[in-house]
Amino acid sequence: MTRIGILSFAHVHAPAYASCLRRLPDVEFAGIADPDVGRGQAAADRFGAPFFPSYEALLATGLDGVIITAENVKHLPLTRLAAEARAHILCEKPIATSMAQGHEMVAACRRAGVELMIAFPCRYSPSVLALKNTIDSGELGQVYALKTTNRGRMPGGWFTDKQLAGGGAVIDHTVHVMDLVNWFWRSPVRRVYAEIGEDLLWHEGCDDAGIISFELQNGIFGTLDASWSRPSVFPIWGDVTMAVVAERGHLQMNMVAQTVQVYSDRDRSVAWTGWSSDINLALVRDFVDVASGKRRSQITGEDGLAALEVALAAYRAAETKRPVDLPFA
Amino acid sequence: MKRVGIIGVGTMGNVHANAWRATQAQLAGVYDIDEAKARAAAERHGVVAFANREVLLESVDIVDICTPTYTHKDNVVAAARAGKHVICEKPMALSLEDCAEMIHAAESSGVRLFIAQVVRFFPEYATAKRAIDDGAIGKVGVVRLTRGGSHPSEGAATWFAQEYLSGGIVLDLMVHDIDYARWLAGDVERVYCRRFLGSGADYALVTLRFRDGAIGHLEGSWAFPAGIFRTAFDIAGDGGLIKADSEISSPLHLRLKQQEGAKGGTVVPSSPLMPEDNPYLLEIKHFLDCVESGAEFLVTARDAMAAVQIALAARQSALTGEPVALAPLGV
Repeated sequence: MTRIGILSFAHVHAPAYASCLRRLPDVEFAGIADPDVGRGQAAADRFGAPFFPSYEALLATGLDGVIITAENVKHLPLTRLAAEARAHILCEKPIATSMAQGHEMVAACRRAGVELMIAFPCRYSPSVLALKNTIDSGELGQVYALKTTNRGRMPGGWFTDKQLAGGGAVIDHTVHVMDLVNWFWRSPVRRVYAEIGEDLLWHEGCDDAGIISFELQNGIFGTLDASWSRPSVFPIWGDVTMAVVAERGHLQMNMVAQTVQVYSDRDRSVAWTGWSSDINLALVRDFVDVASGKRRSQITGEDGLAALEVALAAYRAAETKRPVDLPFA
Repeated sequence: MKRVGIIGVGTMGNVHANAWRATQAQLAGVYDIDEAKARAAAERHGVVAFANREVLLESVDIVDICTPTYTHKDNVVAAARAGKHVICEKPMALSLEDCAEMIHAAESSGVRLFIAQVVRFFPEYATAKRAIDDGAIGKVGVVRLTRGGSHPSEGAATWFAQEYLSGGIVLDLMVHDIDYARWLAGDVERVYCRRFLGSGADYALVTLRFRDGAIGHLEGSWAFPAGIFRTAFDIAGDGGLIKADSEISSPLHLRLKQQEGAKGGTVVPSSPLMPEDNPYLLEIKHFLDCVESGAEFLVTARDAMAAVQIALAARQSALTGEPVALAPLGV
């Protein structure tokens, strides 16, 4: 049995990961630690896991791995604690709120000899993999440009608190797609430009929309819409899309297209309910293999840093109204 | 009854001719430097083919200019000096100097000048604008517009494919969405563009910053495989979202089985409307109504010039890799 715990239930993805831990064989859900006792106890009750009001107490029980789903700014201190306790780490994205914090996380894990894996579940999407296979096959010929989006509803809570999240929509929604771009081409982003809007959509006192332009060293350019531009009544949480414009054709992916459309008079609701394969389950399963020592992490802290750097460069570009050349910080 | 003459009877000239024939005005005749084209169009529409531009200008009250973009200024100035009201295809011209000269020629001759930014008359775009004006999505924050098909070198009129004649993807095609974006979100402060221009492909992604803070993203493509033409918008405000996509809203999709020796597998979507809802007819009727009543056009010549300015800035940004700040038009 591989013993896995969850550090903090602050992030909205925590319940999905907890449910995965419950469903996976050979996993012992060792507990949930959360200094917010009400939140942590409720989650522990819901998922049938022991509750610990302190991180140290859970880590002291001896864990193979932890999932960190705290506020972004707390990723570094929790990574340090977990690494010292020799637990492998699956850390929610973005890796951190600054490059310095992220580098420290990578170093702490290296010193302790534990794996640091970043939660980029889109890498497990069969639609994303099909897109990657088509690109890798060369069938499209030379790739010219990418038009991508990661749009969602406004998540609320600490996500709109720059002190805890490191930003708003742009830091929240840049990293998934940029990780895919980095993974597909393994050609570093060399230039970033962005127009970022604060209070354009939600009046929450933080950025809620961003159009990011990026250019890879191999010459491919693209844009990413990293926004909370889906209203609360939007029938699905948001999207992850990528359109590839290439020499021999055009390839378009919407990762969340696999839905049924539910129109209910019961609660006067419209919902597009997804039926795509469970990418969170695939991510957590992979992490359990990493935590049990079966393999190294395929989504590294460096990958997390590369994606974060684009988000941070976007903020810099928007502030200076100039393109930013990478590496910049 | 107003008499109308069309200069230039390629694709758009014939589209306009059909529209004019459904109005209260009289399509008097056409002129084209290609005599065979002029004769064919004249026969098709049951009108005369004028021997030259001067005869046309002497014979009509309204001149409709559907020539290639690089000839717009010359034709508009000639028509204005002859004292004729002018409707001219988009984009207005290839340079701001030409746009200013066209406006000056019309104003000093006391004639009306209308640039046919037809997207404002397309039903899905007009419907979205009405909903936004109605407050359905609150204040506009993010405007995303997309428009694209295959490269014009695959079609008949090859001047489109020449940057110095048509202005390329950004000026010729994206000027539609640039104008629409301005209609929704107002004047633009800054423009950034990345573009791929190669054999058989012209593709651009434009980022706009509007003066009131909203942001915009425009995709223009002449890089898709043949058989695809797609338009879409996604406009988010602080109170909601309006979306449309021609791939979804086309009621008909024709898919033919592959025939021996012929290309197969192409899907041809269509979105049929009653004749009175044809956007080109609505545009021409609007022009005619405004000429007769003296009312302001829905899209003024200065609006059309502002769209050209944004397109030129985007082209410059694509070349330099830097954002371009826009100055006031100065006319």
